[in-house]
Amino acid sequence: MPTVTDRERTTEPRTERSPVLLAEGSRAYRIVALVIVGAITGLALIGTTLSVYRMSQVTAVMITAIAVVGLNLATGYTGLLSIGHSALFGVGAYATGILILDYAYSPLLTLPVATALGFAVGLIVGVPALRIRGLYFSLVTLALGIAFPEIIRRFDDFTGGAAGLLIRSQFLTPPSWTGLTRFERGLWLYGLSFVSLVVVMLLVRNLMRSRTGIAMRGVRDHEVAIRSNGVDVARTKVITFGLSGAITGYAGGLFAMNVGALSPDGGSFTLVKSIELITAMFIGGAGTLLGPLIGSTVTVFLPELTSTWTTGPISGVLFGVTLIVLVFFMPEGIAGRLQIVIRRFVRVVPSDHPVARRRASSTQNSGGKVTGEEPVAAGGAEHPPGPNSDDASSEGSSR
Amino acid sequence: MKTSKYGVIGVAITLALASACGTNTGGTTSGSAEEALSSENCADPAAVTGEITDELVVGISAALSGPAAQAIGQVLQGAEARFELANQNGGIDGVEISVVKRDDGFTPERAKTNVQALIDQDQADVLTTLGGGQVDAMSDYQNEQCVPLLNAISSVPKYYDPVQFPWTTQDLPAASIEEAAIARLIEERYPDGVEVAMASNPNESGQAYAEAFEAAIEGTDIRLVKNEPIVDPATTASTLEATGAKVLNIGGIGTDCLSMMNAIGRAGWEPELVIVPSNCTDAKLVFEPAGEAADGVEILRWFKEPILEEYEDDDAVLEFVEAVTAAGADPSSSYVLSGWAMADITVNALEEAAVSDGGLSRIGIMKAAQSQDYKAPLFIDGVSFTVDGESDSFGIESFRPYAWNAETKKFEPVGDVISAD
Repeated sequence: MPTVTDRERTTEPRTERSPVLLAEGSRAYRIVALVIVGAITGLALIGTTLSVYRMSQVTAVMITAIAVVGLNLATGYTGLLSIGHSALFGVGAYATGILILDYAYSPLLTLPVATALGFAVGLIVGVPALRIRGLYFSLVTLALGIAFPEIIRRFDDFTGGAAGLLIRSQFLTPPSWTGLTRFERGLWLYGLSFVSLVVVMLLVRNLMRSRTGIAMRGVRDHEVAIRSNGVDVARTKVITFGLSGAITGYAGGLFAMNVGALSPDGGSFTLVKSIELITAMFIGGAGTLLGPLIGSTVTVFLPELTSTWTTGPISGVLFGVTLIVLVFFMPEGIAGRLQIVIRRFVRVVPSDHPVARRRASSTQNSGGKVTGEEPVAAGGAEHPPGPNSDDASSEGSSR
Repeated sequence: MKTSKYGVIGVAITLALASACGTNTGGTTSGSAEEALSSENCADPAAVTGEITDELVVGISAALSGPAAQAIGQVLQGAEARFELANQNGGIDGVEISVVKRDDGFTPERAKTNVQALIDQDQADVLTTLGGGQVDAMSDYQNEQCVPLLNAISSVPKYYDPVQFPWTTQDLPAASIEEAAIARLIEERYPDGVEVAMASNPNESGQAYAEAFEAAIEGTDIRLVKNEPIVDPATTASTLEATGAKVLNIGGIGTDCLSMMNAIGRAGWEPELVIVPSNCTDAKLVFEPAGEAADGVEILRWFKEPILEEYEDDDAVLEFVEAVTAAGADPSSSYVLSGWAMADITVNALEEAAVSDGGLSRIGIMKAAQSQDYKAPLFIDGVSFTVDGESDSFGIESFRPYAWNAETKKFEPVGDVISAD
């Protein structure tokens, strides 16, 4: 039973805790960044102690995450829904497979080629985006996704046709400078995938903070407005799809090195793979940096988890229900939801943010004492996010 | 954008430099099968020769979820029933068999991680799986680790080569063997030669059937007038009907057989002889749904099955029915029988290994599996599973032709056992 005092309290204006402001470049910001880098490095090192099986699963997560990062660039950030990324993934995988088996390339050397081919095919697929948009463009990518396995079957002299390609372990021995034997291939691929994922995510982060990144978001959120601001929308779309294809092609190359078996019938390069990538992107959070990694983790580990609850077709149903529940409660994706929650407590602002400037001047006036943080009003309406902000509202506004 | 450009260029240069340090040291294994099957090439040679004394773990990677789970679940029911029967009979020289299953959803990626989990985590002594894609994804690691992958339910040509894949065997007859037997059957029916049309699935299995049939009829009076891929069955049927061929050979998998039989029925085409491959054996899923269109369609079989009238009272059949019924499986399902057969041939190899010089060790099991002459109780008289680990790795090489009677919904024998030799 509430007391009078309690009722009085409830009628008082609600005061929320103001989020802590972290200015980029400040000492606090650098400390937080160091802690995050340390945590990531620590996690990566812990990963090396996992069993071969678990390490392989984590490698699969990272490779899928790289492919989803590519998809996210086109779909999440730029709004070009692609249902054909399985083909771009396959282009990279088959480039690696063919170069290793037919041309005796070392596996690593195939990755730049897989990336370049993914870029080229991405550019070609992106060209229709100059004239068509929305679902019609998605239909073009759908056609690519359907056609790819048939093309693989047709050009069997190169691709092995329906029989596929098998890259045996003796072809995938780690480079001699690693000091690893072919029996330690799992560790090599784990390390390579980890470094690749970190580099790709950093590149995408930087890209999205650049003028091109702003243009990509503009294309997604309001094409007419961004065009009226002088952005070449056509060029942005085509380049985005090229870059997206390059990243996904790179992931395909890693996939070929990891699984070693490529087939047009196995589901690795069919629409099933496209759906898997799209699912991972939306579960993780479209248009977010960490979304691809989180989504890939869910799509790799959740089926295993649900299959421990029950066996047979029911486990597939459970997987589907779990996905629906996730989407229902977190329509912005897990990373998107995390961003919203974290932003209640901490916000990162550019170093030229007015509050950061005020803090810097007050620090100078107080004899050089730097706190690195300062509370501001919740929501920050009076301080709209700058173009370099990681603001969730600017990243996910089209959804 | 500048940062990204330079970043991309930097990564590309780094990768290129790193690549220059790597070399492709791969090559094709050569030598004899005996040399290939050696513990020296294994990641852990000591584990390969160690005797299995406590329990023998059979690790299975299969689709426990997804669209294929229902059919594959029946295969596993049959296999587990056979392993359970072996345990009830005292195990393998006193060693009990335990089965560990991992779900691959019929995708190669998950089969790849499964094989690692089965070997490293579940300590599997023997592996098996279903599907060519699965074997592709698993074969490299299990050959590297020297863990036998026995009697995979697939028929990928490269895995019949004990030099390249000394630790892998398959239990389905190779396409080359089955099509050779089909060619024999056609020769018997048409000693003066005949024109044959072929409908083949554009996937790996279908192409293997088509290529094998072309090879099998070389030097005979049989002429392949057209090989049409089964993309749209109606179009395929009308295209092949136009050839005027008297014989239709369908090189597909279960659903292809059903759709092709339906398509030729709708087209009103009545070839004198229609043959489907042995993988289309399921009466309930393939022949019954086709109705009249399946009447007279022939298939090669090598098992005594409960659905074959002549074997209804056979002791081996009764034992099979009792065991799988107790396990809650449907004894009339060809999938259940397929799983039972795979496990039966595996159990025979394990029993032979237990009394061999190599004993019940991984290498002992593999040697026994590569050298079997097994007349299983469930095999039709005249059929055996014979491999010698060198020149003959094909297992089943004899078949008996049966025709479907749409009225009685039974298969009826239409000839004696045919050997592909």
